Amino acid sequence: MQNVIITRSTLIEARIVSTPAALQKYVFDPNPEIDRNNILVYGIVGYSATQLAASPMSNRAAIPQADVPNIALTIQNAQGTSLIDRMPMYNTVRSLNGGFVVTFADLPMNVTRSFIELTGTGTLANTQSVIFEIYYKLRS
Amino acid sequence: MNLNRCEPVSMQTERQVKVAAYFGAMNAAGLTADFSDRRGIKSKFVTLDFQATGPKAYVLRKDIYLDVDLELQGARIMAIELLGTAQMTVVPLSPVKDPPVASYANGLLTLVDDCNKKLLTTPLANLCRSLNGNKLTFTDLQHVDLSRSYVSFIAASGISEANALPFVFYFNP
Repeated sequence: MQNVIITRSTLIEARIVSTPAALQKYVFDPNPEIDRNNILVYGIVGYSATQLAASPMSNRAAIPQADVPNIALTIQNAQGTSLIDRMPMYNTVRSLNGGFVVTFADLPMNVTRSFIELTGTGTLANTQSVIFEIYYKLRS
Repeated sequence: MNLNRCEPVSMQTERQVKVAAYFGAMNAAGLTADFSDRRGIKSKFVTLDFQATGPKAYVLRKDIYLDVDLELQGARIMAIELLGTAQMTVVPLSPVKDPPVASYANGLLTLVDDCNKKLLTTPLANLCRSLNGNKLTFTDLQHVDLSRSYVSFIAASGISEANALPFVFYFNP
């Protein structure tokens, strides 16, 4: 069984900036290190407040672990094509999946076109953020 | 791989071949490795020893830098682990200190290379195998400069000079 090797990683954040409602989408914030369409993503890990209390970028609280099932992840490329469509955030939280990391085959992810979508509201609030760590390599 | 008796054998085989090919390519590219893979020729126990005052005093949202380590300088870091109390009840310093496991969710580790580029930014909880199904976090990071690398806490933590973070770096010199 294979484990992912981190060669480069950074955090990305989608802020819940309105009153949470089902089917509401929130895009990821720009990340200066990786927002020039210059990365290929091969792994992703999601974090609830149990693993990471708050975002170091915005200082907003991470979502509670109980609300992880209320989040779906869509990864798009620069052309707006969905490469990963509504993946449950649950799948990406290592501590909920025996420590395994979700891997991809070199996704040319465009961070600011990609988004999370609420499938329910639970205890989500417009003061919280959904945080992921992406494992990536630079495009040659 | 689960075999589905209702699925034609040819499709099962095709699926197994494709999955094997995917991981074969990822392994060849150095992006995955078997869980049993030997990560690093050596390992080194590195602590971030919090102090009451000075550069290693805990302050919310302050970057607290790791110490220079000549052995790790320029080494290839193949895996990183942050120990929890399930693995090591106290950190063997003088005096002994406690690993602040309850605060791991409040902190991040950032590793920087000698060109001042951030290679890795990850929550401390992601490095503690006892919080992740006992899975070690594999890395392949080159030219890491520990003296430019740091831990920061983004939420209030009850950390004091009674605490230290016990990292283990698995590396090739």
